Amino acid sequence: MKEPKENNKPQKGKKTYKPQPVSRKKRLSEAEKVYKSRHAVFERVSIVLFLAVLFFTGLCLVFLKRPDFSESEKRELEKKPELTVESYLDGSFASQFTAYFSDTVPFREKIVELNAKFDSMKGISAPKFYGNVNVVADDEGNLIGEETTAVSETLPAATDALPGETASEGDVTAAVSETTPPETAVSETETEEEEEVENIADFANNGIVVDGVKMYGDNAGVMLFGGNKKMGTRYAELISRYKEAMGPDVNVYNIVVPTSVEFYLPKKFQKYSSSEKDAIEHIYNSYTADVIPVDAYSEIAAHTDEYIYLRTDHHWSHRGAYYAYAALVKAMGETPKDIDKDYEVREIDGYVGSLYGYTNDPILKNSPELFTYYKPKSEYKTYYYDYDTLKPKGQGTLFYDNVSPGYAYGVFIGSDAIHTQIVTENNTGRKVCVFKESYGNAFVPYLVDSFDEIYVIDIRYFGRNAVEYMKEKGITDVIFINNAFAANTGSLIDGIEKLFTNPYGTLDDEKIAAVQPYYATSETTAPVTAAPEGDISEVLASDNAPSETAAPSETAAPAETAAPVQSGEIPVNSDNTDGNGVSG
Amino acid sequence: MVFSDIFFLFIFLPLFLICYFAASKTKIKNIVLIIFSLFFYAWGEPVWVCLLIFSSVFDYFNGRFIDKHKGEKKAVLGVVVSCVVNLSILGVFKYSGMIVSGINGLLGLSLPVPDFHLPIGISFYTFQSITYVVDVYRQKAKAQKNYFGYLLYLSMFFQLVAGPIVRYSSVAREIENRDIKISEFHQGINRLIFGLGKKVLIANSMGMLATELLSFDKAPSSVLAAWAGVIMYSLQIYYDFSGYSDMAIGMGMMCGFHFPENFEHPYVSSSVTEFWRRWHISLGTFFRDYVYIPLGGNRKHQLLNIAVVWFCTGLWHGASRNFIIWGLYFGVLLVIEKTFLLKVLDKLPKFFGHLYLIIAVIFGWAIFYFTDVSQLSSCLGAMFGANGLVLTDILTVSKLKGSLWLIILAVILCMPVYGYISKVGERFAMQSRGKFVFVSTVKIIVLGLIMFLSVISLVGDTYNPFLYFRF
Repeated sequence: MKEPKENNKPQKGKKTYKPQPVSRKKRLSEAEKVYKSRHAVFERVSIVLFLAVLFFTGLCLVFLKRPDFSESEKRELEKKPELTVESYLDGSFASQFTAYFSDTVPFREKIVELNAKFDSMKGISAPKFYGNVNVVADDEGNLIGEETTAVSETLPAATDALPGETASEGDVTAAVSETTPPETAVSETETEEEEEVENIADFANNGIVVDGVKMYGDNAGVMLFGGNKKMGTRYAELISRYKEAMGPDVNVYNIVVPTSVEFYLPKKFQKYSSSEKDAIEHIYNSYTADVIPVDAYSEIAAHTDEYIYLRTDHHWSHRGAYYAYAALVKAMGETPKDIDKDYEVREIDGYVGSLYGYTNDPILKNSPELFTYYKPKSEYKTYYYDYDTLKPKGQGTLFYDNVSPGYAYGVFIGSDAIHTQIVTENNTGRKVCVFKESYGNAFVPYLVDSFDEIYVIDIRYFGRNAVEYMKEKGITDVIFINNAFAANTGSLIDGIEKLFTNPYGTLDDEKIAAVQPYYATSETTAPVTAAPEGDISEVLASDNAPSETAAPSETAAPAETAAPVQSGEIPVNSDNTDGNGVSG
Repeated sequence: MVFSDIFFLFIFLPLFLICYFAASKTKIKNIVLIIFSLFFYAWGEPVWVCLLIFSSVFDYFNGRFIDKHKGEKKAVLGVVVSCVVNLSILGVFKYSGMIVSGINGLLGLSLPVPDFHLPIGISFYTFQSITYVVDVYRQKAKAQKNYFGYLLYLSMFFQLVAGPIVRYSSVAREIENRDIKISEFHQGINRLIFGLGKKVLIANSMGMLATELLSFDKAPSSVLAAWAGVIMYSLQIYYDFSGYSDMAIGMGMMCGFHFPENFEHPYVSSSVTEFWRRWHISLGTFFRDYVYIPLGGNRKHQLLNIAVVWFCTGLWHGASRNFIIWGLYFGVLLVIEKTFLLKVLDKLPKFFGHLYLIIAVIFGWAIFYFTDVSQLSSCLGAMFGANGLVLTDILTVSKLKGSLWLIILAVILCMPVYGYISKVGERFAMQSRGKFVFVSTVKIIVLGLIMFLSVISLVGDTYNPFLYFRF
């Protein structure tokens, strides 16, 4: 059946000589002799070269210092595993050691960058798609095939969809669990950094497109929007329930923010991203209670030639957040301050954001941004609390001016996993509670010109029942501010629902068990277990009237400006400008 | 451990070379090789390395037994016992899950499905043991008197995990005595570097494209995506496997062993018959010499023999239905070719033969890729534009354009251009000293570049699966 082939000679590396015609034999054999002796020298030279490279590289790998953190990927690299009998026998030592060894090669950052350059030379520069991209819309951006889109109630597949990172154990998901910043000095960015990576996994529901996308004349990346009307409906209904629970005297505003893909995606890619305008309108039309819509979309859409979104990050810029604020103020019937006159402008140069960390695309790396932010000139004080126990952390700064360029977006509030209270010197008589994800971080600072007190609750991190908490604080206005991805993402909407129904907010059982000792030792108001939705006001009225006095600390003054720092139990950092006090 | 790994290339290999060449006598070299091989194997299989050792002890004694009773009936017994035990071990580890779930499905039972971890390289070394006992029985090779000689043959880390399947008779002499020529050491280095480049630079990139294009829920995104995905996979599997074989052969050469060639530009074949003489040669010849011919070859019930061989070939590649279908698919094509197609192709211009072969092989790899039958049928459907699928889509086009030069290079290197270029270079280099220096410099630069790019790719991409690893 299969007879061996006659000429099975290997082609590679063979230096065989063809028999030459007799007439030229002599001359050639002379040349052959010379060639042979030269070739022998060449062989020796190349062997020596090869061995030298092999041994030299080997020595470098053993003796040079290995990195333990990747700045561009914002993740901790693989750790050297411990050799135990078990870890050896189940093979985990070997696999982890191999992973460690190749993940922490000396000069890794440089090599990875070099490799990305080499990758971009493999073909013609074309729009590059990262992640799991699906057709989700028609050519006009109308959402199609609702059930088949990548958005789901569980986390979208973004983390395991990136080809470059799938095989590694040190991929994005691993990075989320334990991340520390390279510079310990900027300790407050620790959590922010963690969130950066997590956020993008939460939101990136249809991949990322880079190259061929321009913003403000420069290279940019955008995250494609999958859209999910069902989730949008759920989001709108939940917010309506908040309105019902808070009663007719409390204003509930909802701001759904479009993201950069809406305005900067080239038309030819339209079918990979559905219309956020439609998604936002759908939400605004799905309220079942008197929620006040805020048309941030039109306000933002009117300024797309300004630097309102970050080009290399999935967030908006601080200027973009201003236009959402302007829309809110207009909805409140007032006039916003002038972005170009009424603020102190600060800049951080050399910012390369999360989209680069996610795609490792050299185009983004080579297009760093000038990160501009606007500091309100009015007087205010900022207090931070642990998000789970609401234990006061002391007074801090609203803007972390000293963040390193890599974490520039962390300049606002510094972190997601924290509860923030801002007390201003306005006399409006209004106290606002903001429900947000990281988009809201840039938005919150503008509010210091419009409210007396501002409470900031991250929809993923808050250890109390939000309605109960807001009633305690005498909240007069509630703002929901979320980007279109978040308002269409089940896991984030879950957070809003948990805050509404659970006595311990977003905390899971394990975390609840962990915070119990704190409530047991301090006399801080512990959440009323099994708080029935409708009865919250009654419970509070009977146990704790007047509700304003139920501040987290027992010694808090009954005055409206009561701040936990006055209790004297915690260090007061009134001159804190670099934010170190927050971590303490 | 795999060859395309930083730790292997720059720590394991240099340490091995130092120890190996520090040892002067072949005997000591053998001991060094055994120690490093067992360490290499135990790195990935800290427990099942025992199985490898058991297998070597068992067949060492089998070989002695067969040798002692050569010409007698007892010798047959030795062969049978060895084959039964070896194949049973392979069967338990590789196929028990498939068999039990097959029985469950057939009889509506719910027996617990065993989930054994498949020891690395077991499919390869099991076949190598079989060649040993059979070769001894056939008196093509002398039984190994020294246990360590046999252990060396079975455990040699070059070919242990992914072949080629080296026959005992072909290396028996070199185990006892071998000399290492400088020119061969040099050739070995070349093979090693080219193999590394094939695996890391081409196969991994093609594999990434294939995975992206062929992972779909209902259907590929366009006709182009389906075709391109399967073609990229065809390129990946060739470069992956042949690159690995090249590295094995190269390292063998550096240490004085001459392993058989495993790939001879299979994609330039003009019939399936020819393809299987060029693709995974050591496996094809194994089945020919140790299954097909003993069954009676083309002398009796040839069709049955062909069916058995191709069923086994398919099954060997994995414990899943699609591999069996894949094997039988080629069996059927071979029978068709034997009966009339080869004669027809002979009369036509060669181009038609190539076209037919390429299409046949591409569909073969589609079957090989999808373990899920519904996925396979929707991919095949998509290739013919089923359900009015669009011809192209931006996403696929942009992916292919992003790797265009590499794809073109990969297609070109499927053809025997290397031999041609090196011949031209050699003739050119013979003309003068200057030209010789020029050609030599180019060679060193090319090899250095391949090595450099491979290493940065290994660092840059953590994407490094090895397709044939678990076979």
